[in-house]
Amino acid sequence: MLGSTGKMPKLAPTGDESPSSAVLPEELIWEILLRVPVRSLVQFRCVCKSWNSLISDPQFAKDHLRTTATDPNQRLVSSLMGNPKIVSFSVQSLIQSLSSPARARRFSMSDKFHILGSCNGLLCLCDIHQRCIRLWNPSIRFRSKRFPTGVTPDTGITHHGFGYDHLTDSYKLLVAVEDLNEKVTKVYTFGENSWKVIQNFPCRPTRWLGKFVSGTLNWIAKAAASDDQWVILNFDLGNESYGEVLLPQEGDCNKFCNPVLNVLRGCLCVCFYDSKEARWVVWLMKEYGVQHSWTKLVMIPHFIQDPWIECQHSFFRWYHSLEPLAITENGIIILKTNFSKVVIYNSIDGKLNYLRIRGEHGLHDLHSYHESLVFPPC
Amino acid sequence: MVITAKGKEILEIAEEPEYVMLAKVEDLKMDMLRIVEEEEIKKIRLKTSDEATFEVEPSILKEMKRVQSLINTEAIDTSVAIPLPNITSRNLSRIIDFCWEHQYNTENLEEFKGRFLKSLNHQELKELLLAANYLNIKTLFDFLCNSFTDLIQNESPEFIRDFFNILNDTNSVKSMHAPAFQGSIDDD
Repeated sequence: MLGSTGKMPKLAPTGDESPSSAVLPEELIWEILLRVPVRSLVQFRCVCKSWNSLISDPQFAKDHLRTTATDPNQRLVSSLMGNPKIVSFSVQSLIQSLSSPARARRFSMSDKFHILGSCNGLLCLCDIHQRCIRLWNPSIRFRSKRFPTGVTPDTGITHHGFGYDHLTDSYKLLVAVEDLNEKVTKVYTFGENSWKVIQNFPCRPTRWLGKFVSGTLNWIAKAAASDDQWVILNFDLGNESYGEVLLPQEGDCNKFCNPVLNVLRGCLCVCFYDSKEARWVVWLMKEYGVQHSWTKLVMIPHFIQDPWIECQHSFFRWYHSLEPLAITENGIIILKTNFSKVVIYNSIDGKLNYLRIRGEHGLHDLHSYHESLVFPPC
Repeated sequence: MVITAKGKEILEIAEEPEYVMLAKVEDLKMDMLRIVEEEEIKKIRLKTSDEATFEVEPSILKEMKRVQSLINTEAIDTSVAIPLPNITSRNLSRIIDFCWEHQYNTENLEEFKGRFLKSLNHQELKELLLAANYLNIKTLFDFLCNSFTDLIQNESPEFIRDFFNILNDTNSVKSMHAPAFQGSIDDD
């Protein structure tokens, strides 16, 4: 074929007739830079003025986020207990560091902050007294002003979640503020910089943190109708209303103990303990909200999470849970036990290892983090 | 007519038992008959900036969205070659090679891509990106953009300026330079 088409003419001149003739227009530079990792782009801001404005363009930040959605450079971030620091690990290096303890990048602060949520490269932080919140993008060193939460000394934040609403192109934080008698649920919209009180949760989720996926925050809770059934409670950040998502249909939901939600590969996932088969099962909902899209992702044989507690109080077994944090393409999954230990399970060879993290005993919360150039107006 | 790519295949199978070879040659004939039929109806000629004319088969042409839409919308007289004033014959030949391999080389595509990339210097890479953009060939365009990314992502700003022929018009380099993922989150 190519004999008569591509390779026929021999007219092509040899060598470069005009060595510097091809200058790439800005739209092509844009296309190339969309694929460059954030860390390099931050350095490239000083190439020239036009590159600086391109890389600082909010539309470029959005396009870049979309292009790098399946980011192989996923990180996990956590605040430390009793220590005003935030640490960050690359998932890749955690997996490679089975033989030597994993190293973290540290950010020190004069005040102590907790992480309320992580979305599109932004961390939503809350000071330890819960008086104020702020957004922080560590990759580009963007930080917002502090905004008051309205939390008083005798109240505290319980359920919360942070995410992006594409309808209004804004980041939102939901918090439930409670004291002994009262509960107020409200949403903060960054940019508008105002709180709006909303309806309280229709049920009581087991964990505080709602997981952000597909424009919604998600918690696992006992169904209002039956104490035996688990459901996923969601909050749509766009229309600010609650809804329910069904768990996998297969089998009897009663035999699943201690379900925990998270997001893997951009999809909602749930990890149960299947007491009948004595194993952990991770399911992935490939299409958000579609029950038949639940797919069994990984099964992990029962293992003893904390030998000491296991021996002393067999009763603790009922409280065991596993939270999936990250999964690689070749089936290596990172999970957190409820004793704040991190384990790595290789579903190919069935090996399970506890992760050693240098000098970090007090990981408070582990959030998935994706580097970005995003800095919302607020 | 038209043998080169398939012709190579005939040479390669020549060492197989005769009956296998005959069967393959028979398949090949069928293939070629089919292709020849298609070509006679739809084959389009393209004329490059250096006045070379290429006959391009429909399956390759389909990749060139710009040419395809020209044909579809303007009812072009296909007896006359379509002029491509922005593309040299050397680049069009490379583009056709790439599109061909991308469609038919299912086994060693990555290997081909590696060789393809190695054969290009930076200048040629830029020219080809411009051409792929002009012809609107998504596969080649994405491949070249990713190749550029690999080339530049770990380089210094000085390298980038050289690479893209950019004049340094920044006088406050230091203030714009911020290492990622370090430092504190405290107020200034």
